[in-house]
Amino acid sequence: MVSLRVYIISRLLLAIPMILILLSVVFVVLRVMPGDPVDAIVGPKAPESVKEKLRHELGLDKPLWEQYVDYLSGLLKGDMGTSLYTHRPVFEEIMDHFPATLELTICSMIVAIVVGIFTGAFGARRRNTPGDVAVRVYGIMIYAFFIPWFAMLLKLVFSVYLKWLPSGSRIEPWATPKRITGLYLIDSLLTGNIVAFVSAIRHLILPSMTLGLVLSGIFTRMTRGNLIEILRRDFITAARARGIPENRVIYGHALKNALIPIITMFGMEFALLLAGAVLTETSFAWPGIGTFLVERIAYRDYTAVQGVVVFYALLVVLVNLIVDVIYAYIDPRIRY
Amino acid sequence: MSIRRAIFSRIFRRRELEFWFTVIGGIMIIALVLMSVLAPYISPYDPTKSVGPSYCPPCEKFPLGTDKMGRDMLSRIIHGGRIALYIGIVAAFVSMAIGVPLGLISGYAGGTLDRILSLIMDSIYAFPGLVLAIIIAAMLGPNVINVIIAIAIIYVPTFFRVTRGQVLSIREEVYVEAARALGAGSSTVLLRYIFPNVIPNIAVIMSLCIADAILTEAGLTFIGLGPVVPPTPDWGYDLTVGRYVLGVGYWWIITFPGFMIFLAVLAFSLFGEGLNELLNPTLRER
Repeated sequence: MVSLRVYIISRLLLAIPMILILLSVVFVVLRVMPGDPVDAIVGPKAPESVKEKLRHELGLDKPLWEQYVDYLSGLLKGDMGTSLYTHRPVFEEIMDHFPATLELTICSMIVAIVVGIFTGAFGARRRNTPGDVAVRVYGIMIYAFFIPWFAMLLKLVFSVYLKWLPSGSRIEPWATPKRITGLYLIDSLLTGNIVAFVSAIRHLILPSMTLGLVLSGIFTRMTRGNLIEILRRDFITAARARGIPENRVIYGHALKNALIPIITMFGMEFALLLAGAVLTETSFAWPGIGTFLVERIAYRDYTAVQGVVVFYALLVVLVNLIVDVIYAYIDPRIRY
Repeated sequence: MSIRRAIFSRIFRRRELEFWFTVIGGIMIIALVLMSVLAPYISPYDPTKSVGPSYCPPCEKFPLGTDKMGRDMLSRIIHGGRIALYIGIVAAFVSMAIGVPLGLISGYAGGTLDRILSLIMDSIYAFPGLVLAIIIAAMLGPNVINVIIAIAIIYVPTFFRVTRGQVLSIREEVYVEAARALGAGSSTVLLRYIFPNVIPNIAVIMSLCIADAILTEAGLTFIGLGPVVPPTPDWGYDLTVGRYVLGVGYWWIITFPGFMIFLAVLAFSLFGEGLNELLNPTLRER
């Protein structure tokens, strides 16, 4: 039996090659693959002198391995370069947009988990009834929704026809709360700004419903599958035999155990969440990292694009690390 | 048991639900492919030509309405899946052609090679696929081949992981040991004894990857990195253009192309998930 501390340290060490690999993949895609970044920035028809100058500025005239070393050592110093479009440090710009993405993804995740667990538990309880079939069909069908389409349908109903909710952006511009964390919900509460809080919630509902519901299908299926397995175990039979009400057996005894494997899946879910957030943000003009990436690709802001991708890579490794540690903490069997 | 429930279980439980998923998904796939192949013969109008007034709501003459240019939406819908399905299917095949052999070798050989390959594949797998596809498509430039490459790269790890996992378990089977004891070489064992047993699961992943690839292609189009040049009809493109008239309430422009993407993804998902349950029954009644 290895202690938790040893496990965490070895898991931390494993994160290093993963970061290196992802950073190298980014490097390969941006520099080694056919397609000249300079062409991508100024267009293939630009005069050769302009291209040369830019190539020199970006250090693209150096040998490949030297570029690679420069790139890695720059990142090690926390330097993501300066935006070609705004001439601001890329890291600063990313941090401007990150809270919006964080707020959206957290809210979407809450929607996905709540909806997923309830539908999944509902199906598992009523195994092989029409209700269960509906849950299974839901689990597959909801994932087939193309996020921008789903977003447009919700917008059509709730903001164009019913006019209940705003169709885009994060908040009414005049209601923006003072920036503390960058998360509007928290900032508006901290400053006691109820108007901002309401506005932020109203703007959050449609985007987090869109992303949350599309991702909920996976949780539905996992919860249903795990719960059915757990309900077959002896301790459930024992609990039922002791006369504990069925609701408490399911929600108190079984569900808790069914949720542990779901935590392990969260690392992979996170990639889906980030990818989904790009489309959700673009659909709702939500000023997060996804919108930032798409906008800078259109402006051919090469350094900003590279910075965003590196940021995603670090985020993914960090989240996977946290998930593994939490899982090891909850389930001691994992640490041998 | 109530009568309703009895009737219900007679219809559905005789054949397990996953059987119906597979059949319905399969029929939908065939229907979509037929529609795309036969598009020029069955669509009422030329999808690239203006045949009516601009933004005409669905009516008798144009059952799904017309778009900005007065083109018939029904004809565009019928033609619109050709590129999406083509890209989805070809990209998934390319991923398979790279991921499966790597998975076979990695799983069978083990050791350092396996560890390095697995680490690389796991890292890419953990990265949001659409973002990777976006930067690859942005660097290569948007056209059909480049979009196929971008999408194919992001699904290689999926095939790799599934194949490798399968090889690891099949490798320990008695018949593989028997083959080896009889003097079969590594390549014979791998190709004649292990590979055939991996194929069913590859079919599952294939179907699910096509579903995902169609979504990714539509996503790239939505972001402006799509392979489609107007006036070529494409579900993703028509949907993307439709968002600009959403506020005016022209619902038919977005509803139908999006619904077709939904149907196509659903078809391949149902087929893949159903097949998976039939092949690997994890939750059958014991």
